Amino acid sequence: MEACSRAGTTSSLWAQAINLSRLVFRFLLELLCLRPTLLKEFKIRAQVDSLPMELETLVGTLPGLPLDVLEVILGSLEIPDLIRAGSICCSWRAAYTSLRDLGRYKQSQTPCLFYSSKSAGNNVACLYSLVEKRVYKLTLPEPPIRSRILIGSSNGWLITADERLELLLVNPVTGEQIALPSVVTIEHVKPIFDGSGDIQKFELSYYTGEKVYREPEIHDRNDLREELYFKAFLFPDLSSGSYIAVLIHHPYYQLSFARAGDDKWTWLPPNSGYRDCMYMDGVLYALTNLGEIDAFDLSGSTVTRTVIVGKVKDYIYESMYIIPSPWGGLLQVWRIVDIPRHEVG
Amino acid sequence: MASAGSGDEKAAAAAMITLISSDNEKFEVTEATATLSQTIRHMIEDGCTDGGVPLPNVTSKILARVIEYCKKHATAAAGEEGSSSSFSDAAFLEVDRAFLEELEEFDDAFLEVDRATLFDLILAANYLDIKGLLNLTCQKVADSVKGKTPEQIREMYNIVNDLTPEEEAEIRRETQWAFE
Repeated sequence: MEACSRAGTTSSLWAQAINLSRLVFRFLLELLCLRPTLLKEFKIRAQVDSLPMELETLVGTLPGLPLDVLEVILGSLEIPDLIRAGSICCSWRAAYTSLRDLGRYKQSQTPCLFYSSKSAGNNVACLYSLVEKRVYKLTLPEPPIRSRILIGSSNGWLITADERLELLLVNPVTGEQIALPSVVTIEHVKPIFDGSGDIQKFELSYYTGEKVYREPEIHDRNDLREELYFKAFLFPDLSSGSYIAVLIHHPYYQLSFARAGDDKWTWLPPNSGYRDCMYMDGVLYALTNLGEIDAFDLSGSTVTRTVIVGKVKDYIYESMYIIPSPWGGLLQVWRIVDIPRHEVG
Repeated sequence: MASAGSGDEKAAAAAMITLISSDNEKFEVTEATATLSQTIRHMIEDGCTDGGVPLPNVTSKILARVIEYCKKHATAAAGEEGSSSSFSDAAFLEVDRAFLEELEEFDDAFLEVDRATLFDLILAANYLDIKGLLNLTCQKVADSVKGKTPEQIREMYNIVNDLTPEEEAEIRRETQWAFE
């Protein structure tokens, strides 16, 4: 079930360097398909008699379409179709490249089921397309995807934790991989080294910004991986044009974040019990299991926290989610997980 | 559409615009029809339409189709405007739904053309800046390439692969999975 709910959509955060030089503009074609602003000028210059004839010879094949039209066509395709269409010829490639590099590709994707299997291999991720009713097999970089746990997926990126508990962003579409700050930079985690300088175990501290609950405890790597990471998110960072990673982690479902290039996680005390996050206009909205919503302004160098909704309930049974409403507000979604009494504890 | 008759009378009284195709054929259309084209709308606003609007990039065959599209969509837009003031909400929704269904049927039938005509329509819609027509025709092309291999798409549209072997190798290296 977890695998389903975390199945990645493959829309990609293709925020790459703008490379205008790769845009191939064909002067003649631009002329034939005049932008409206140029039309008047064209009219004043009177009709060019040879144009209609040239037009006749050019139309009939799609490469004759101007770049912006090809962008409209390719821009409405889902990613596998987009990639294939972008490999047809130079002009289609140019439309693909400009959609991708200039961040103009906005097409929402039909969700895909993301899974791995022993038979496909340890480094292979399978993406089942509901649209095409077929499986794509994506070979991903080391360490093997089957050895990692998935703790989130946003904007086309998967957020994974490897066996050393280190977090890696991986883009299944392109195979790109980005390391997030080390696990040992999380506020509550300290490494315990063995004789050869490798991390053998971790010490986890049990406090929030409000209270120390108990003494630190020593954990094995495998035990801690399952316990430490609850959920992770990746949001576009408007101030830098890059990204912000947000982590809900144990103990007590606390919040930390890291900007692209940071070498450590920044803890966001004092509250705890966070279950879901969303990010809008430089503000991180975090929802707790009691229905509180804390807003963190991450746009500046110092983070400010505003409580925008206080505690709305005393009990914790639901899975909690926060989503933007179509009218610009925030919605909480409470999903009741019905566990018969006798099975609890 | 009960209001079609009165709509036509209104249209007759409204300003007419003459469009001139590349092969010098003249088309008389109402301003409401013509202004679905942003290009022509700007020309009307700038007072550049006296003596007709020459469209050197559009043949009479394609222009006739484009006008057919604009007439239908302009009528629908006018009908919607009229109905919003004269019907109750429920009736309005009903009329609205009927309009949309009829328009959809029209659009589907409109797209039943050969590929050469489809591209000509795309070029004309782009040149005249008719957003609805451009999206409609581009979507038709997009739908036709879905689930196809690059080879199938090239064959379908008679496209020559002019990518260099290096470019092709780079594409395959980056996203091999999409080609398997």
